[in-house]
Amino acid sequence: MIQTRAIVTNIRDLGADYFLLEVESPEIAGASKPGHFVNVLIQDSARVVLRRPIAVFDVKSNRVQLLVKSIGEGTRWISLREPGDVVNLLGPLGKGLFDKTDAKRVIMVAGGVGLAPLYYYLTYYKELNIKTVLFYGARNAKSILFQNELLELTDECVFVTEDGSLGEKGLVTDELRRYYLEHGTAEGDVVFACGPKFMLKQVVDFADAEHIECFVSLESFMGCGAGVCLSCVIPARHYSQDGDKYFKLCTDGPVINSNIIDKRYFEESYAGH
Amino acid sequence: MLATDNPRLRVSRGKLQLKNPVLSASGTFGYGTELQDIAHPEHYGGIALKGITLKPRSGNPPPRLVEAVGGVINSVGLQNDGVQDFVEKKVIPLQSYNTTIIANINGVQLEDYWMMAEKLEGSPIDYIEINVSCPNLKEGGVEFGKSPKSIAAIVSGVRKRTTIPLMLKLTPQVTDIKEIIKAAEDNGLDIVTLINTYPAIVIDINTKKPVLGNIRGGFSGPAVKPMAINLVWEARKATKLPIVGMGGVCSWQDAVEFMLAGADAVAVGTWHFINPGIALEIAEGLMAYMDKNGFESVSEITGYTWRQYNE
Ligand SMILES: Cc1cc2nc3c(=O)[nH]c(=O)nc-3n(C[C@H](O)[C@H](O)[C@H](O)COP(=O)(O)OP(=O)(O)OC[C@H]3O[C@@H](n4cnc5c(N)ncnc54)[C@H](O)[C@@H]3O)c2cc1C
Ligand SMILES: Cc1cc2nc3c(=O)[nH]c(=O)nc-3n(C[C@H](O)[C@H](O)[C@H](O)COP(=O)(O)O)c2cc1C
Ligand code: FES
Repeated sequence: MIQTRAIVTNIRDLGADYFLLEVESPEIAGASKPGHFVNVLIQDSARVVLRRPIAVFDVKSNRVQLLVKSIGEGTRWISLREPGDVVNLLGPLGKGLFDKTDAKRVIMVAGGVGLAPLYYYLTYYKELNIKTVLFYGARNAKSILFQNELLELTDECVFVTEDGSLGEKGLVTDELRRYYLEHGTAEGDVVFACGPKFMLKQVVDFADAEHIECFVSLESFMGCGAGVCLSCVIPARHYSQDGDKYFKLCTDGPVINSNIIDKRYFEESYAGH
Repeated sequence: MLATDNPRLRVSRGKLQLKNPVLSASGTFGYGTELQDIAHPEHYGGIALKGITLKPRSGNPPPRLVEAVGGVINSVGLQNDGVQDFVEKKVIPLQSYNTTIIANINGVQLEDYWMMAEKLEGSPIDYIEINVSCPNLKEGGVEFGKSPKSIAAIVSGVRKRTTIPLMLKLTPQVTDIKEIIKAAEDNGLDIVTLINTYPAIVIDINTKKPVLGNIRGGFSGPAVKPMAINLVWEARKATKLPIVGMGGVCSWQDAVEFMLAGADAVAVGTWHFINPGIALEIAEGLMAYMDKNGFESVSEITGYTWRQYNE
């Protein structure tokens, strides 16, 4: 983990409030693995105090790419950076989970900006020659990003939109189910998912029922991003004696095996939502 | 030599003996080593570890942290593995570092503090910080901090059970700071530390529910600094004991301000999340400030402004 002032080398407006920011940081680029994230310092804002966690989208030699959806003051600030600007980053953070190199087939399920942490995994699995199948859902055609790159990176790629303006119409999870009905479960499958909670719940339930190993990338309110403040906790499935037990999303995750998460976490009513 | 080890930054007043006046505030620096790539334990004069309780606690339900203008509100609720685990596991890796270790102890009843002191006696820690100001405990915690009677009982009980120097961490909600400090000092207190967080609530206007899982949390960060400095100023009037000031320290300039008001040392809390390398920056800033302003040692800054209005 380092703290660095990285120079913006490029920023692309991808439409639908998505931006791809590229910064020069040999140290973070060199140390990043799939599953890592960085904490971005938001400057010039009276309202934003904490850094904003953003997944490492991809690494191109000395450069780190971040896919950011502008949804509030912090992410808007990031989207307004220009080449030559300096961005203060803390990272790489997280466990950087990448030990599933024995997978026979990797199933990725991305909802919206949930593509961000999964893209880097896809590039790695491509290098390892492991078969990948991506289900990528978004609101409409405009919100489906990197179509060409994804077709190139994956062995099979299913785009799903809510309005049917691109690919299948409906929900990614329906397409996931259909795929398994048609192809059957394969030994050695691993599922990775990132997206809204209701989507994750469906994926996790499905993976549980089919006995497929499943990893999800979660979000929570983070303070330090480095394991010292205990702000980011997610309830664990196994209880401790005095009640609930939690794990730290920033250092135990943010990509974690779904079988250690308390299922209540995925309910709409859960306070941590 | 790093600025953090410069002898001009040494703090030596009563039982407060530090190589430099920058501490980490409890709960914002884990167990000391997590951030060491950037914030090495040896950059600090002392590190206060995450608050502990007699028995393990799982803490409050999430969300546990939310932002507000000028700070954050946390409701972590003292998630920890208990004093036994602390003594057996947490302090051991820290022994080899050239810094001082502060155990932050919390109780739901008076006896908790006493029993923890007993367990800590003989362990390689340098200070016990009695926290009577945690707003995230349903019982005990901050309520003790408002009552001179409870303070007297807690401090005297802890004093009887350990020879480790004692710090008392005050709530900004102190009723009468003079009375509180006197009650502690009369019963063997060595050092005053202040402030802990302010009770606070944030409501999401869309869901119409409090944002924090625990409803209420404690506010900290840059916005509390002027109030914290006011309390350091008042505490200085109440005692000659060493004072560790905290609440919104985000830069070396903030550290200087606390010291001018009477603090012997400062602690950094929330700002670790924004700038984990802050301790070294403060030490470097203090050195430059001392050179520019003709201070030979950091202790000359302590109370410099305060004295002009109070002596
Ligand atoms: C590990 C991790 C990786 C992420 N990766 C990406 C990514 O690659 N691309 C991307 O666009 N977004 C990502 N996010 C989400 C991103 O951090 C939030 O969208 C951003 O913090 C919102 O900040 P804001 O100021 O724009 O909006 P705000 O108006 O402050 O907040 C809008 C919402 O964002 C969430 N949020 C705010 N602050 C935090 C925080 N400190 N930690 C977690 N959630 C917060 C809350 O749910 C809040 O209601 C990630 C989040 C996490 C935890
Ligand atoms: C996430 C978090 C956890 C904290 N946990 C503790 C704790 O366990 N014990 C304690 O005495 N103070 C705790 N505090 C309070 C800090 O030690 C400090 O007194 C307070 O945050 C004011 O300083 P600051 O404005 O620099 O953060 C915590 C603060 C934060 C933000
Ligand atoms: S964000 Fe601080 S412990 Fe995870």
